[in-house]
Amino acid sequence: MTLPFLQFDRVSKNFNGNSANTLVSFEVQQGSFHGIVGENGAGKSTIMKILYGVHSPDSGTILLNGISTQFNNPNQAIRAGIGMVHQHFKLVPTLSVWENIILGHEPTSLFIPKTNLLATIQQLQNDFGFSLDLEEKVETLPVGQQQQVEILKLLFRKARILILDEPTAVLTPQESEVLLNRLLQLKKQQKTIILITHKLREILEFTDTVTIMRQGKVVATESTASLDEHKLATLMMGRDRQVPVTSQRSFEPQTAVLEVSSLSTKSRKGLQLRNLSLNVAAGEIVGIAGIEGQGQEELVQVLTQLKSFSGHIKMLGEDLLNFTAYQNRQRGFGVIPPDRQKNGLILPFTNEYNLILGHHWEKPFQGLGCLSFPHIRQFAQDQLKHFDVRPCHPDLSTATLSGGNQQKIIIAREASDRVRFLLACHPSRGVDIGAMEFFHEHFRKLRAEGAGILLISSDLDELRTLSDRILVIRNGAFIAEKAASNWTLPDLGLCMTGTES
Amino acid sequence: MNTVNRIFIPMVLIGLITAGIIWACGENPAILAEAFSNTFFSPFGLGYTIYYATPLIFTGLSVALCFHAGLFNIGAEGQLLWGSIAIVAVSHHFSQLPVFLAIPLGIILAALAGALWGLIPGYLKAYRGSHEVVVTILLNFIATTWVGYLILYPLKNPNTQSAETEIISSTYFIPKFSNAFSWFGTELFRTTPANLSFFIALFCALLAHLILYRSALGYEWRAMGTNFTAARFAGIRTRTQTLCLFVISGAFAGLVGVNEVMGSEHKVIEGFSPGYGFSGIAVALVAENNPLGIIASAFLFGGLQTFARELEFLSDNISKDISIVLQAILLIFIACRPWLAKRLLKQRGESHD
Amino acid sequence: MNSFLKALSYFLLFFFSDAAYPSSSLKVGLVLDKGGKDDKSFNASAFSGATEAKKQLGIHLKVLECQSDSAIAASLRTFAQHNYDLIIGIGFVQQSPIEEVAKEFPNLSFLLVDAPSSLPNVRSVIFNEHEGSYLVGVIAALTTKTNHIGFIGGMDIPLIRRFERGFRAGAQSIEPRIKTLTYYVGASSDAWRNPTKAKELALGQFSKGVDISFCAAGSSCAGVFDAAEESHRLAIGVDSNQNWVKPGFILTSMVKGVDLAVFQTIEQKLKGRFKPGIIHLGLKEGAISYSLDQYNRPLISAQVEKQTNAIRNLIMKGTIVVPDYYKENQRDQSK
Repeated sequence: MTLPFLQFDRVSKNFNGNSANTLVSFEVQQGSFHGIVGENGAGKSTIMKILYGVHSPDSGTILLNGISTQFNNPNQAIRAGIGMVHQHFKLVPTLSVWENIILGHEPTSLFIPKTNLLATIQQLQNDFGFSLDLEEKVETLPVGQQQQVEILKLLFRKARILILDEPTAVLTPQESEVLLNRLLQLKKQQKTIILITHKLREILEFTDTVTIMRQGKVVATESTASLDEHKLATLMMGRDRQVPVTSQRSFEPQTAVLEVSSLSTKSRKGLQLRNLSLNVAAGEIVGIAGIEGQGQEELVQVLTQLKSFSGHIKMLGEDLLNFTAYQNRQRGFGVIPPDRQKNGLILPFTNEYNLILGHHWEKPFQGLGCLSFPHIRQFAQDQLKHFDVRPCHPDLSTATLSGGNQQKIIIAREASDRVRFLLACHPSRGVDIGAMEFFHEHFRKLRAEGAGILLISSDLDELRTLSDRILVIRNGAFIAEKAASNWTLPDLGLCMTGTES
Repeated sequence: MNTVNRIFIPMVLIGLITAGIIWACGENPAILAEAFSNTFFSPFGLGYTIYYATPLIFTGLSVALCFHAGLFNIGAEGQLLWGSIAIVAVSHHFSQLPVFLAIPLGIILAALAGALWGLIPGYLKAYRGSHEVVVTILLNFIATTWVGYLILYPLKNPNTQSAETEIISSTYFIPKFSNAFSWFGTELFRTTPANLSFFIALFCALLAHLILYRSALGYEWRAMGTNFTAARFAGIRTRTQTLCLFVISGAFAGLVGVNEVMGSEHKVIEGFSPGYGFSGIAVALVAENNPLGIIASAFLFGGLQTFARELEFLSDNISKDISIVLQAILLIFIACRPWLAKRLLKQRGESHD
Repeated sequence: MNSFLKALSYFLLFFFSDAAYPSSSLKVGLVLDKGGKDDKSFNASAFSGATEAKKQLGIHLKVLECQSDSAIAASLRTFAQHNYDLIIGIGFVQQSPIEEVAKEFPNLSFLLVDAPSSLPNVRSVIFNEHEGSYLVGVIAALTTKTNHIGFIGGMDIPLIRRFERGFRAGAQSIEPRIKTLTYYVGASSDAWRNPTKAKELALGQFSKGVDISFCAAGSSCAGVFDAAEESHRLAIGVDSNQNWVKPGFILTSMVKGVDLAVFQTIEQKLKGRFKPGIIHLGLKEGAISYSLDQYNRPLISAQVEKQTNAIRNLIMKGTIVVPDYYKENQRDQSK
């Protein structure tokens, strides 16, 4: 066994008295594919951000090639050959691919030697098997390719260690497969890969070694070969993982909560919705599958009244447009938006403020226009406890919560007991298995109580375990519909990608 | 402790830099201390400081309120002109009203006139997608010219050659401190134009604070300002609120007229505002848009005006332009305050993330 | 708690007692308007009169410039607060601030230049601008080759119309068929400091055949001088002797003896002979004149000089009565 390439030695970090990492110690070998797995808020991202120089550790050391190292900012880390792809990309959308790649690393000459640079980048592409159009604007690329730009950017900076924070959270299954295989390729070319994820399958199929974290501590660092799914899940959650039950409808769907007929949208550029028809009955979960950007966003915008349309939509028995978006929420319409940070939460606000967003005119949250703080506090405390949001402080800024806990706040708000029609977009994106199962259980409970749910997700397992029916959307139109039990995973994947209709 | 440092250290630095400038002008820096005490600790200086601070509270609130919702109101200057001229107009038409009707009517019309001028950018922003900065800047020019016309022609004072309106009817006068407190045997702030509309400004600041942080409406505004898309997703009627905000901001700016016209000058002099609307931006900036903080920062900027005059009076080589220099120094310090705070904290080994 | 009360009472004591300043020599305060002491015109003239008084009479002099019209009252009060014996305000804009402050401080003396006031502690000086304008009108009519002269006024107010009326009458007294083209820079107080617009107006006049333009527009006149230089025509300056500003292009200046009025008032105050009331100063008192120095000597022939001086003497004797816009339009006269 060689000298450990990268070694964490009893690293600890506190944020405002909340411990994020406690005495974290593990090793990463050179040229290995190392996974870090754990629930949301387990401290995976924090330890990597410490390595990357975003945070400084309170105590403990990091050894790189046996030498104690501490970076004060990411630039120093990059110079030392460490690169990180964040969960939320740090690209400039209006610049082209090659401009993004050299950004922050531009040659210091007066004029940028474009041809030379393009040749260098192209050489990198060839070496590592990428095939991006370098002149393309980043904003026009699909998410998967944007991620490739991020990786190329690191390779251009001659990174030896690549850290990827939940890279597959935003990708379709096919794209994920491509990415992970590409990472394997990089490993073969002597790069060290550190993959943060909570998808067990990715760990088991691709990594060499894995560090399992829970509540800021390292539970174990093991060779992947010695683990199986069950064992891994047990280590990660500290309890036996429940096997998802197959969908069971408790009673027959009755009245429709959503009736959409011949819905179309017009837009000068981009995608149009074409003649969509769809019913969601009370006590039913209808899933919509599709690769990203096939009209799901537009459908959400139409239902939340942010986009004009032609056709007829009846929600909860009344024409959608008879009420304002706000009034529809009062009538029992809940929305879990596709991007929780962009659309769902006001991050700098406190948890209690986020928990009443969109319901802030309701009694008892306000009286005579004045917010009633005791009632809000009481409500927030109940909800935070009920949905197990950690840390459970109503007056903590939501920005300080981990992604999964942020999502819990949205679900607590949008999918409360009185919701009668829930539009759920990617409800479990980027959350751990424990939270995901909790959400699914909650959705099933809502269904049993007679709510209708329209589920838009890129996680096919989620769609199949939850939905009663699944529709496939492609290029702005529904192209297939079957009962969930009649879809096989390959069928669904093929139908989405258009190889079979 | 940190807060004290954050305010105190920049202040000391500003003092030192100013002293340096004064010294470079060939004056004794000790006059700084005298000017300071004349500004804040003499009845005359303090009276003027209050008088200057009052309009800055109004315009500061006008800017800050919009800012909370992510809107930039640069139109306070135009709005306050309309507020002022409205008072003269109402007095022109209803000169015989008794005091108890005249004063509320004047105040309401000043606010209303400002609000109407705020309605235009509000509507254009909310329903036509125009950029509010461009619209409000241009509306300032229109207001200056239009109000200028009203001053010079329909409401002109025929007894003077200056560009000013007729004097409003005395029932519209808001008492000066010196008169209001003479019942108690003291002429508070004697011979200064400080008047009771200062209390209206304080009340407005308190009101704005309550609306922003205690009401559902303020909650919506702050939500809009922090994350506009999420606010829209939550069903907040962002257009209505944009309109509403500009109207309220305009009303606050319009109230400047109460201090100027009903409180002190009793007429509108052309070009009476030395840019209160624009200083309001700086006032709001210093206060980090906190309505109660605006009271303090308006005092700071109002005091600066008095301070500059005292400085000019006490010295031979310093001209009126010192007030611009002082404001500039102040603003530079405010602009680099985040950086300064970071440096200070870092030295104390408390890095925040 | 006790010490707090103590501190508070000291504070209040300090607060409500008017600060008393000992007066040794005569203290004179001069408040200039937005133009400032370097406006080469009205304010500059007042400033030089006051500085002269300081030099010759050994008084204590303090000058405050106002950033805006609303700061005038504050500056006047600053002087009054510090017990200045004589406070001088220049320009008709200061009329109402001076009256306001004079009422608040009845024990102090005030001088108001260019506007009337009948308060018991205010002396107000009004110049017979029409007489001086008449004279420069005569010079213009004697000099013009095109028989076409121009007038550029600042703000369109009776004071400036008085200039225009005198100027036109003076020119017509020489050549009844002479044409006078009159422009005003504006209707608002911005007209006093808008040289760009004044220059456009002057260029317009010159292009219409005007070869001499009389400018009575404060700082805006700089634009008229520029235009004269560019078009190789002549301009006539105002208030101060402005001949030196563009030598060769300024025919003469209608000089208003603001410096004289300021100096004399200070001297009288010093000798205890200060008298309130409205004083009219004109040619006879030597407070109004036209300027003749090395800069415009080549432009004015001995013949013209002789003829102008003859007319000046007739006005001083009362043989010629110069039309006065104020008297012709009693309605518009200020108070």
